[in-house]
Amino acid sequence: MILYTIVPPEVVMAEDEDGEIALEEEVLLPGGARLLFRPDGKGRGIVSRLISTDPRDFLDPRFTPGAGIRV
Amino acid sequence: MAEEKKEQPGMHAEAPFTPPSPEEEEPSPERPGFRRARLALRSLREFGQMNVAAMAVSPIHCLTIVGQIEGHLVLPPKNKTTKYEHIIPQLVAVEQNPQIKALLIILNTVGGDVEAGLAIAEMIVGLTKPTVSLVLGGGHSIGVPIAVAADYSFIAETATMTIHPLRLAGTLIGVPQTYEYLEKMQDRVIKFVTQHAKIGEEKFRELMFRTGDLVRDLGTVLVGPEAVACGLIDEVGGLGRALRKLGALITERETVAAARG
Repeated sequence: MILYTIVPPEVVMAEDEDGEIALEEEVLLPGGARLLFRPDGKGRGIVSRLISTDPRDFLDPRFTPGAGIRV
Repeated sequence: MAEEKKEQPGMHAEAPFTPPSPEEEEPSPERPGFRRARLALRSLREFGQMNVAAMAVSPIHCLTIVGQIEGHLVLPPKNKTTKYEHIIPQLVAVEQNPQIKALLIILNTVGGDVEAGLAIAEMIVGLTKPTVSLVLGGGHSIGVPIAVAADYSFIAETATMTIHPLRLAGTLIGVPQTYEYLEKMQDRVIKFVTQHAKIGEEKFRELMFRTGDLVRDLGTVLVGPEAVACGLIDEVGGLGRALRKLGALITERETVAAARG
């Protein structure tokens, strides 16, 4: 693999030392969008990222990063 | 960020989302939770609990490319990435869905995997629907071919694009490659850019190997209007102009299609 980026490779490949990055899970929504969320292990999750090409999906408050979802 | 302390009504999905439970030690291969979640949301939409207007698809779709472009190798979690396997199906969907008339590509990327970047750029070139790209913040390295892949490209006044050589020391990770191989990879980038932008090969190479501009590397940083002056990008502009251009391109296509009958 060749990386062509302005970020130095030691920065790109730096492994996380504090290990605090929470696990993310992904769910596919009916329109084809993907919702990434961090489950809290207690049946709930926090939306971390919405991946969609439809700009209207981003107006849906349920998919806003930080919103809570029931897992 | 409110964790679970205070549930704001309406701020969480009313549908019982049931992706695979995180406690499950071995998730089953079919991941039945995904299917259930999908069905739950579908019924939510179909039975009118949601805004009806939300069912319609926006005629202009927007592809956002941020952070590192990730291809064959999963990058460490501190990197914000745009993943190849997310982008490609989205582009296929944009091409296939008759409700989608055009695609806006928004770039704020530091570069990334050469093969993935070129693949995304080729997919954009291959789309039969009008495409306009807008570089905001930065469109560096492998972001350059993606920006020029669109039918028409914009760059924000303050956005920058860095053009620099692919290099063995520093930018190559993995198995040792020969110098010729690297040259070949670099030529793929140069060829793509000069084929799809108004900039000539000689000028692009000159920018790529210029000394004295970058502290750590050869190359050039182009700020908004400079990217337009050298022919790399078509116009300096923002979101409004980009959307207006897409509108014009849609009308143009529809007129041509109507004239053909």
